[in-house]
Amino acid sequence: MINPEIMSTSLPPPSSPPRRPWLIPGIIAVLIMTVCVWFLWQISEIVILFLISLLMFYVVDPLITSTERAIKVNRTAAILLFYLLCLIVVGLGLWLVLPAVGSQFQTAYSLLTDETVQADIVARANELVARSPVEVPVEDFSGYISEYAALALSNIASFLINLFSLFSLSIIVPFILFFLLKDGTGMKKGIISLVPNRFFEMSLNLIDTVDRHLGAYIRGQMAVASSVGALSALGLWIVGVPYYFVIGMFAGLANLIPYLGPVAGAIPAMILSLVLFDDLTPL
Amino acid sequence: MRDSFWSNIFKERDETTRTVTDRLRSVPLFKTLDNKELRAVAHIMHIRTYKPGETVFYQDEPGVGMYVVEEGRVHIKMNIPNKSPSTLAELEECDFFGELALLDESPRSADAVSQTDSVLIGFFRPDLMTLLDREPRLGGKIVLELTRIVGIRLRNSNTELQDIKQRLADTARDRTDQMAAND
Repeated sequence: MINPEIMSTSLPPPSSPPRRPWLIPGIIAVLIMTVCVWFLWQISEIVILFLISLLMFYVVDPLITSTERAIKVNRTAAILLFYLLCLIVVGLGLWLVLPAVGSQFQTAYSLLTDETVQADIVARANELVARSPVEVPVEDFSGYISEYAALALSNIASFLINLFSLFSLSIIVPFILFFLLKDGTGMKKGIISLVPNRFFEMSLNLIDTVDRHLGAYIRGQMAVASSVGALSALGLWIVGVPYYFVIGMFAGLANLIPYLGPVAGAIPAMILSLVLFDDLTPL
Repeated sequence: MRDSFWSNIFKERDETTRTVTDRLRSVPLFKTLDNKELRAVAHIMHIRTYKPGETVFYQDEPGVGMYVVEEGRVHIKMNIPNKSPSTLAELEECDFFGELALLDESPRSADAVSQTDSVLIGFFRPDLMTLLDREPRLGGKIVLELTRIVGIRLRNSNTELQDIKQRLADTARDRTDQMAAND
């Protein structure tokens, strides 16, 4: 006979609902994040403008600080001086360079979006592939080329045209940038003041570290992109490739994308070389 | 002309800056600064409020900067393994602490705990670096004063160390003499 005492002790305790203290805060956090993402999506145009301004802030801020220190003026004066210089440079650029660059853009755009030219590019690429000593599945390859070249060319061209026709970029970004440059420290201080005491020092340290490293990274990327753009344009001009400015600028911008950027930047130059020289030799 | 809304905001900000400036004037670290420089420093300071028992910073955590007690009382406590925390200092209005963290990211050597409702003025290394970058003359003055304070403390520590060594040597000699006398 089984001892009832043993039975009672060996029985599992009455099942209680499993405790999940993280469940409700987790659901609330997910809801808040969803609402935030939805809100940011709704105002994505402003967010993009703000992000562009932020990128420019990281590039321009050291210049303003150097100006402040070099000519011993206050920050507002240094910013205004920078804006004045930018206006002069942009004005001179519009007056002297834009007509030439604009015509390069127009010609490159019309050339790249012309269906006859696109077909010609594909044909010449096929020829090149056929001449290649390496065995390439030409049938598939030609299909890929015609499909992707047409798509990529029209996208690249329309992107470049749209980039320069964005009115908001030229008006709103400098406006946001001015306030970021002037009151950036105060804004950062205001955000940090909201952090609870327990996490205050850690947040301050974290924000400072991220700020320094992100700034250095962005400045480095911009410097590399500018150098690649300028050197590509110079190199293409020397070897006689037309639209060297447009291609150089695209190469510089594409270089901002890790790994794929340099390859993508070389594509327009290769296509133009194929169209104009029937060969990749000039490159 | 400012409307009432903006005038209230600016008035509050101006008053806060004035209070902080007045408080900073009595801190040795900023005693060489003139009024304009004090105002510039006050603008980058952080005002933090703490409840009784709330920790300002923890021992062994990386330090970010220093604090000046504007109101209230703060205790500096050191945690020693297997012993109860010992209070190293009791700080009141105009006292400052944590200034070594302005120089490097070394961990805090003790806890700082607010004993009453306290208002602290924080001055942190990133702000000092920005100040050195933008206004090197002003930043240099603060760093020079900081090194002077650290130098004084080091000298005092050396004196205390010498004193302790001397006392230890005297005790050892006395004990040896006593043992020789007993023999």
